[in-house]
Amino acid sequence: MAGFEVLTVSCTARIDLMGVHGSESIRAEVLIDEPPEVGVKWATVGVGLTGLGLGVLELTIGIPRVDPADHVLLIHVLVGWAFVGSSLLALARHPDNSVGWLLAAVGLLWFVPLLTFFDSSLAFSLGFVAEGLFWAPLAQLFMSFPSGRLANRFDRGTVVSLYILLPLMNLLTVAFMDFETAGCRGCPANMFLVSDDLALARSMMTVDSLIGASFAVIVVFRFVQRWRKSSGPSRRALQPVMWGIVPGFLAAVYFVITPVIGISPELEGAALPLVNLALIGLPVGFGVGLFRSRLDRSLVGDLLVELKEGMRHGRLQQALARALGDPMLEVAFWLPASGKYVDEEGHEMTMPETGPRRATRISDSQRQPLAVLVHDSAVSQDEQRVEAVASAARLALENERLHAELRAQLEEVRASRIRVVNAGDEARRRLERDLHDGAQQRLLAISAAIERARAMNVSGEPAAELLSEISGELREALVELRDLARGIHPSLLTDEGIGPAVESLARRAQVPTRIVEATAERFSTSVETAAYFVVAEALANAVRHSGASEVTIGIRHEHDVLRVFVGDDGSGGATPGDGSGLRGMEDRVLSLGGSLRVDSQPGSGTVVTATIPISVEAGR
Amino acid sequence: MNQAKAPRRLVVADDSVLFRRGLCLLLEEAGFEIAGEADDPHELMTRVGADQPDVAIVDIKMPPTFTDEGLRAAEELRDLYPNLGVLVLSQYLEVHYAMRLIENQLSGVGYLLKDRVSAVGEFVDAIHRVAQGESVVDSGVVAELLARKRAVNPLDRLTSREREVLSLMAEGRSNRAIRERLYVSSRTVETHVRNIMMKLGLTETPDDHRRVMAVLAFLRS
Repeated sequence: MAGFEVLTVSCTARIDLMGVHGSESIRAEVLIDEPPEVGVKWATVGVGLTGLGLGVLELTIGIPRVDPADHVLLIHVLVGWAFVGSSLLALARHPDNSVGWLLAAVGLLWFVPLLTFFDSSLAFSLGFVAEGLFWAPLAQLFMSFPSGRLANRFDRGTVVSLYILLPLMNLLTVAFMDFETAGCRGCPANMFLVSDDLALARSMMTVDSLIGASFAVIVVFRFVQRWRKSSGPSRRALQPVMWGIVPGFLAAVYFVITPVIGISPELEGAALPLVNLALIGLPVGFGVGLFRSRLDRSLVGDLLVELKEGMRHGRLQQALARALGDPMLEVAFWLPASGKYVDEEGHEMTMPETGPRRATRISDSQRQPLAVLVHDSAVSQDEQRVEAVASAARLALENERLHAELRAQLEEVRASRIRVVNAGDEARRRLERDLHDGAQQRLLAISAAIERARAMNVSGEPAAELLSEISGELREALVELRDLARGIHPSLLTDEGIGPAVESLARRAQVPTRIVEATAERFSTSVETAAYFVVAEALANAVRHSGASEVTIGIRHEHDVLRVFVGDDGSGGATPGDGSGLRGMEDRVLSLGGSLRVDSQPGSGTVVTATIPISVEAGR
Repeated sequence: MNQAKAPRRLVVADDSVLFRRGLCLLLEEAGFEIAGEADDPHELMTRVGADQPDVAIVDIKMPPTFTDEGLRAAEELRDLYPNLGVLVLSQYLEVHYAMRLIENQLSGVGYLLKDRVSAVGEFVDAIHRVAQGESVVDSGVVAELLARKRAVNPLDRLTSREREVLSLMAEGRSNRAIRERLYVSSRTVETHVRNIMMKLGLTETPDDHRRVMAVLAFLRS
């Protein structure tokens, strides 16, 4: 018995340390104290043998004492063995994860009531004090599964409080309970008895139950919360535990309901073993969950083969996601030159600060930051595997980073092209405004002044004639100035949008022009300006070069693009390179991430189609 | 044209002081009284409320955004003062703006190019017409509409006299005004109008304002 106690205590202490202080301390402890492989192996064997032995012992001592028709004893042993069994499975697969140790602690502490089978006063009293202690590691298990780490201070506080409160409350109860007085005839004396006060002991037990119930609510609530937020490997691990809770929950409902509704003794005799059996759902759930969240060695092997054969650009992230079993895995490349993280396509990325996603940093061959894997927190429970995958993929990652860097630069060039075009447009808009507000107003003021002079009955024919002449010249100047301003930037486009602006363009065209469709919607300035100049340029070409007899224009909003269509029935044969201005509008459309198509077979007219994404937020 | 109720008092709103001063002097010398001047729509509303003019002359682009303040101010003024004529001045030869103004108002509004300061007669005429509740569309805008190149041009079916009448109709003139302008009998004008409407497939309406809208919409399409 002494050996068992020591083992249990040392296990709990060790688990406590691991769970509460995080992964760094686990590694340090394991590395300094003993070579992990051998130590863990022996400890595993120890747990297995102890669990088996305790179960056998409970059955041997217990069966002669209880009613053989009552299966409660057998089921009690089975539940204990189920916990021990899943702990063996967990320890064999993930020796550096505290989940296995927690399962072992629950399984071994489960057999504590066995102590009360002995006549020894010490054993009997200890059995009472240690009763129900398995709840503490079980709660820790719920809150740290499957990574073995507690997520935050609250969870850590909850678990630590349980480890302190459970034995403390038991001790306080036992201190005031004489076993004889409590109704246990022929039981050994209570070694921890301070004063025989059954009433006080009873109220201690009530407090104990209340504390237990509140903690149970907290633990289950936090678990369900994590389950709801989980995805990928975490979800795969938590789901079986979730199913495991259900029978346990039904059992709890049974215990609450039966005293209220009343139930026949026969039915109760049949139901009780089933209810106890329901508890087996928990160890089975943890075992299956751990099994499902494990990283498959063969997947890592597949990755190595894939890497050896050469990885095509853009496939690395998928391959790593497969190897680590997290379909949501993302790779972020560190670009030291620009000091930011980018994805495979060169778009800037931000690193998760908190939440269920974790970041694992990978260094290049010069030990400089290379990339970061952003993955589900459940993946990090197997750090060695992540490490192996990362080092296997290092070369491919370095390669891919060059791609990402190139793409980031292209992105930058594209952005600067948009800025250049926008700056040009802005300058044109300003120029147009300046012409209207400055020169034109001044000319108009002069017109008014001349008109006044003419009205003032100027004596002498020549002066009146001269004034008329000046007035006429001014009128011409104003018309020219207006046309010039409109050519630089049409005010109607800014004020009323692409539809009215294109209608105005069509009305003034020197070739019959028909608008089949023109959206009245508004878009960003850069999109509207690009669409307008495509129409203006294509229309000018149709008039100047093609000898068309009719031009057809369509401007349509289709999903997330603005489609511009200008077709004529002229001579055709236009190409973007022939100085027709098509090159300029192609540049403009491309800078917005759109495309321009010119269909112009000689003799069959010209059709210019521009597709401009409307999401471009540059401008306005 | 010059009936008993000839407009006398004007409020002029334009943020360009140079042009506004020139225009005011010109109009004063033409016999109008400038009851108030304004730099922006807000001041315009205040001045009109305080000075009770017959006609407000409003620049199409004013602070703060210099887009369509004038058009919006015109709508607001017509809602508040049904007897007030509103003449919107513009530097833009765009039928779109004129249509926007005409479409939203019953009548008594006009769209005139600022260039018309060099033909003070036209300017004075437009002021009189909006004061009498007629609609005014700048002759330059109408000319551009009529000059539009069309593959099949329904206007080809009109005689040159009918085209002349059509353009006066589009400018917002009543049959009486057309008669006075062309020195013909009212019966002749009515015949012209009926023929034009028939040839263009438009429905005749006794309401001058509706007729302007119908003709403009036809020419614009």
